[in-house]
Amino acid sequence: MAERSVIDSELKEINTVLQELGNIPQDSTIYKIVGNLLVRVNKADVERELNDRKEILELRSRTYQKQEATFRTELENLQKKIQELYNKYYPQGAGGAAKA
Amino acid sequence: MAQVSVEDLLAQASALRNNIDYLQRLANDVADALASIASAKEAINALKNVSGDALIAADKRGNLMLKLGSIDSSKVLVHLGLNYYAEVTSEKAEDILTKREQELKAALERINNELAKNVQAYNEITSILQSIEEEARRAAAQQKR
Repeated sequence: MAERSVIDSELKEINTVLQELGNIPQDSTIYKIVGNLLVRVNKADVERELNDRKEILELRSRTYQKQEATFRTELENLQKKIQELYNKYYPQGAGGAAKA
Repeated sequence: MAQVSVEDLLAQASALRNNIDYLQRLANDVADALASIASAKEAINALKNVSGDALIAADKRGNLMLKLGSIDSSKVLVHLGLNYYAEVTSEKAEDILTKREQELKAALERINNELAKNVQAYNEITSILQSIEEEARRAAAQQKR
């Protein structure tokens, strides 16, 4: 889930940059930070680079979503089994739990 | 009614405490970002009225200032996000910064709401734990008698 949250956060940031790039003139000068340098880059190249990255991240996000759904189902099934066993061996909730 | 053990309550209180610390750090970061944007917008407005020389800090704390001959205030570089900057007019830069400022304000509000909910839940749990402790103390005192 933490991994998916990092991916989603980067996706959000990419979408923001793409949106801002779309709102400025096509001939605008764009710079990219490389280490301590600001290097002039082509706007179309930046958009292409970001769209490629976005595609990869969306794919990874979908994969994580599917995995998460599978794990959740497994967890629910396990919880049900544990509850059944608990009810079987400790009828009416007896055994160990203290009242708050 | 479901039974909750004291250990569960303590674990929940500890998790809430960690979450509160995290949210407070996050709120501070967002507040810092907001202050930085306000400062950038202030600089844009100040640049519009610069007639002569201007000075720029060579380091973050302003230990050294460098004199700049003149500044072209018609175009500035604004951060778009990630590693990218765009050269735009000061008006466009102000628009971009205002939009980011609004997003950050909304985020700060969401964080503060979440923080308030967590603090309330934490206070409720600690109050329950305190009453359990008092009850246990009373029971122990009665046993001694």
